[in-house]
Amino acid sequence: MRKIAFVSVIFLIIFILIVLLGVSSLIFKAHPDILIKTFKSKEFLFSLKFSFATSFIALFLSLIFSIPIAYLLSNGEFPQKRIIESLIDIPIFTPPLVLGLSFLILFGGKFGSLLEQAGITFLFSPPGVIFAQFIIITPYVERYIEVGFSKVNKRYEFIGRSMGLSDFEVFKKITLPLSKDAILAGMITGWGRAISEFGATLMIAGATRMRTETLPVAIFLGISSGDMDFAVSTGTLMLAISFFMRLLMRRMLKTDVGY
Amino acid sequence: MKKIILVALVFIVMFGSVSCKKETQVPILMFAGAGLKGPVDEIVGIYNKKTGITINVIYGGSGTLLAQIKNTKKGDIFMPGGMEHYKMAEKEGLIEKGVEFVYHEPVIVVKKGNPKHIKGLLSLKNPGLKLALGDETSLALGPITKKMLEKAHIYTEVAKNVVVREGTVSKLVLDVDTTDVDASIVWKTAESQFGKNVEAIPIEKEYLIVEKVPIGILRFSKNKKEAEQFMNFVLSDGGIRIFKKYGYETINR
Repeated sequence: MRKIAFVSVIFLIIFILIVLLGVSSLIFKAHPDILIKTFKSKEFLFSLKFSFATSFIALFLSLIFSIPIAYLLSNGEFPQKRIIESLIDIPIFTPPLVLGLSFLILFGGKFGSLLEQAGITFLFSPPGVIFAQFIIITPYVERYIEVGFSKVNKRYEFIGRSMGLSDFEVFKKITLPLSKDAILAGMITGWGRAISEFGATLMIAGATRMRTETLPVAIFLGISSGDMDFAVSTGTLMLAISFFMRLLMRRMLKTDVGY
Repeated sequence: MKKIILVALVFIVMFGSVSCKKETQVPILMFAGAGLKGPVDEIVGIYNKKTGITINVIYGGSGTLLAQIKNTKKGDIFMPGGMEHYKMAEKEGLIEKGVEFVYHEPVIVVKKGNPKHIKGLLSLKNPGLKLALGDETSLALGPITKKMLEKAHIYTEVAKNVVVREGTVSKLVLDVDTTDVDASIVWKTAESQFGKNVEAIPIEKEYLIVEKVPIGILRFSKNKKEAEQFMNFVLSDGGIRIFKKYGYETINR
């Protein structure tokens, strides 16, 4: 046992070292003066606010879809379940760029013009950013919650029902509180994926400065136009903010979630 | 659980205002090569101040942009980094009218002090060199690089030295700057972006091929008049001067 623990620690240290090495080489490339300048720049502040706004809206929408789907899939077996699960997983195993291209074609065609007549424009617009993030994160969020729901001891639900609670009351008073940790883990992962989403956003919403410019798009524009100072400092700031937000979310929701 | 929803709502309200900004006038939608971001940002800013018209610019590789235009039939202006994808757009009838207005030329970029003694295009075939070159389909620089190497009859020999193909010019500069890649071929306009660790070597006149930058109005544009006004502004002395500032040369018409 001790031998296994020892080996595990070695692998742990090596992996963390690899991560830190890469990340720190980015941070060391960022000059403090340039970091401050970037932090004050309009473009950075816009993309920071825009990234937060879009990622939280996407996460919220994703929860609205994920909770009922997870409830359905975690309750019982039915013959089509495997197929349905594979279908939900399509955004996980499809490259975001390909997913983005598919929706670019969809929204660029007849369906898109129908949506536009209804006042919904996803192409090259901020809602497109939210849409891209929503599609990418929902399978992850759903899976976390589904696992949480299915781990809830069926006996509790049964007891609740035998005491006269309706299905909805059982869900609200027993299933949901008992899977709180899983839901939070799903939210943190989902948010992290949403704020770092790039490929699908690039295709659907386009890389437009100060309009569809999330933090990753800002970094892409920086690299593409050769403004390495901006790219490196934005990357560093994004890293710091995401790290801090992750700590904050855990602290705020007072839970110790492992994922 | 309520707490979670509350937190989510607070964030949405806090930041939600960003995405619902109203636009007073129909903005012009322009697709521009990512490498042109410097001068285009500047021109768009000046134009907006002067006329109040918003120009939304979608930046990307020329191939990506063409795919977006073709699949969505949206947008007013197309300004890719080179003629390759512009000609494809013309062939497919996507361009109403347009013109080539500036050009830029390729240079070889090497590590500071030129440790591998690269004297020009012909040196790139030296065995053991590690090269990063532009992708031959997705970016304007790629086909130009290929044509120059073919002109010098060293294409297959140089291909053996290529360790990576990149989709953007800046990534090529970055490769030479930060990795063990010895040299690359990039636009001279990228020179202003070179860090302390790299320098440029000119390409021999007899093999040099320059690339023109076009601007065109898209056939399905719904704001042709406004788009043309902006195009004329780009082509004016003031517009050209901004491009020159970033290292582009004027085409004498």
